[in-house]
Amino acid sequence: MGFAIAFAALVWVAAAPARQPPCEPLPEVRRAIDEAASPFVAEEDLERALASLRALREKLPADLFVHLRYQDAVFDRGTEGHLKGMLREYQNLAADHPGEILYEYLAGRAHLGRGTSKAVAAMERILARDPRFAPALRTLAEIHGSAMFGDAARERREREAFAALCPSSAIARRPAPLPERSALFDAASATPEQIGLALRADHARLLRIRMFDWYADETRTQELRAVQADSWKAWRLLVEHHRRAGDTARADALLVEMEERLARLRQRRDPAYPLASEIVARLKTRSASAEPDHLR
Amino acid sequence: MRTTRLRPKPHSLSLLLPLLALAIPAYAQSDPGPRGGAANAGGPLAGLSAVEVSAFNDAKAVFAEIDSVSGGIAGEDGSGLGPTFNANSCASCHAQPAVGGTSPHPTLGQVRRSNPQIAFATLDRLAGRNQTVPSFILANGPVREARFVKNADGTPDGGVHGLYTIAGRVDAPASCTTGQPNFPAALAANNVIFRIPTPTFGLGLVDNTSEEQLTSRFASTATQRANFGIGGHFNRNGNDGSITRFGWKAQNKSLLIFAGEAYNVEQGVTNELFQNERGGDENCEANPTPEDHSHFLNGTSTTGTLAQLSSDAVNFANFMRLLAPPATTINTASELNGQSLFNSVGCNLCHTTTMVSEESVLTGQTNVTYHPFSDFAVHHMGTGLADGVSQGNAGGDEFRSAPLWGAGQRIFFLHDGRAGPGNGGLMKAIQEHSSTGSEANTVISRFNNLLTPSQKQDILNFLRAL
Repeated sequence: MGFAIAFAALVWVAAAPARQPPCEPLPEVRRAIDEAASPFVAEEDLERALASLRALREKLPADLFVHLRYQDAVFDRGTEGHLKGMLREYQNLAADHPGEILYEYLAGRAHLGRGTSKAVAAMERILARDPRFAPALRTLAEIHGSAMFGDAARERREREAFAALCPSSAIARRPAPLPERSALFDAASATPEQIGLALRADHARLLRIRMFDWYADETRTQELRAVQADSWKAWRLLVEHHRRAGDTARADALLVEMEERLARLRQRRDPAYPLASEIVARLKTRSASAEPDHLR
Repeated sequence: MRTTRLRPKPHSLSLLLPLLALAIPAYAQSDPGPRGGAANAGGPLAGLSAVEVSAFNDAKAVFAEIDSVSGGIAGEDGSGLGPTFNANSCASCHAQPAVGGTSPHPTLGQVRRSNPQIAFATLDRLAGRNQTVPSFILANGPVREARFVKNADGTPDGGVHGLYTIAGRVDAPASCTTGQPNFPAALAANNVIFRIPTPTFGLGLVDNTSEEQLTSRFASTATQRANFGIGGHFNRNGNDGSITRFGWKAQNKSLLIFAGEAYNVEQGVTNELFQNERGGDENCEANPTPEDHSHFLNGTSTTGTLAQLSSDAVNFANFMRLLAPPATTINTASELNGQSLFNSVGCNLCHTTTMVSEESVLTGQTNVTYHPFSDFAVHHMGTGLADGVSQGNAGGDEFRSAPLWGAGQRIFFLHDGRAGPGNGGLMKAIQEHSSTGSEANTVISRFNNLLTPSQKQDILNFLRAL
């Protein structure tokens, strides 16, 4: 009961219009955000995490930090569909609240890492109206501190202006660190389950690169090629797994499929050809010299 | 003016009919099956310039490109697959007897490959996340797309429901969990119909045939058609009113639109013609849309070949536009006789033998006489073939007269592939033209009752020479 009253009071306070949001969330808000998002950390649970944050946002519609956490969840874990959906949501919110700087800011921030130049323009418009709107200073400092949009002088200027308003608040690194590429593919052996999950993790990493303009085209191409190379290593592990399990039919079928893919690579002089060729050749050699396990 | 090889041997109907009545059955007729030997299809139109042939070859490579969700799987470099899909490459289904054709078969025809749709249930899937091969997809059966006739609320659907989704693929977002449509329930409710891929050989000539050509050829048989109870009309675009001519119900206006629509529907790849993902599950949307688009840069260069700078959809259309018609092999006495009988029975009233293309920007392609064996009009085909799906102004029992060129090398026939090697093939296809309300009833009756078995065999042999 006491919590309910406190939460209701919090909702009332948070819902009240505030031209200058605080630098950090109120402790109660921070707790509510953590409680909303933290149970759903698995990739498969993204939709539940977002639903939970949306529900909290319904309760605290004017709390900057609830919105930020929701946006960051989409930036960090969302699909292209989520990112597009979020941008639509915040454009609609801004349209529903004309002249309200908070919603203008959130709509501008929804472009972060996607159409970053639009985010910069939005922040500059906001600061032209209110030079002391700290969230916009923070966002600009984050953008100008990134590798892709790096501008040391501007980053320093925005950081100092932000620090003057919010001296104990941190500025996030953009883009958020990517998950590491899986090391499994250089292992001696692995199960199909492990291989599949490792491939999915690599593809998830690739997705986080492909969707954002934090990354140069060259980086995207390099990552794409790295993930493609992991496909070959994954198939190598799978063939070897099937052979160990005595399922030579599956091993052979996969090897045939690999050879077909290899032929396509050769036809178009794909840079992955040397690696793929080496893997296929090695698997074929081992196949030719293979003996039943009990004879080894 | 060029003509493709076809040797008509006209018979007057009045002379033929008494002969038919007196004829004695010599042997039971049967579909000889798909013609063996060289494909004689899949190459560029004769007469193109070297530059155009080069563009054709480049576009053909794009047509054969294999798509994955993000292009990150080796050998599946195209991106944009899903959220729902029936195939991962144009060429996987348009395969027999050569790239651009139609469904392959594991033991028949030139290609000899199992139905590629079987593999998509397991291709690139996480362990334990395989999808189910729908019961109507068989290793030795036709490639199929599935359409639901009605929505759950009873309103018309008619749209394609992809056989598979990307959920459970290694390259799909982990949050994507959208499963396959409930095909068993749809089948049980008699709410699902099928379409098989149409071959694309020679379609550039069809694309470049004037409305006047189509309407005048159609008008020229009006009296004969009326005598045989055949009506028919053209399907038309709802915006400019012009004749649409591609697809089983002649629902698509142009090769470019056909390509864009198929890319989105069959592979789930959004493009500049069909920009939006189908399905509406944002958890499964992995790429910015349109996923396929024009390339302002070729890598970092502003110059490149037509294929390099064009979208995939434009490349697909260019491949089809430059793709030669299948060559016929009509030669034997039986085939030549079958050709005459085909006309005298009245098959040619809808399966119009000859068309002429109009002025073309392509080298040597103006006023080309070609033999599609179609009037490109839609006709009521009766309750037996009706699928209950309306497209444009083609109703639920109306279908375009299927072009018969290349029929000699096709494995499966009719819109849903119901006629094939296991059940009489071409003969079954012919008989399926007859049912209550079909405009073909008189012609099929003439085929059944006026021809001897050997004459029917001649027609089958003729069709297998197309």
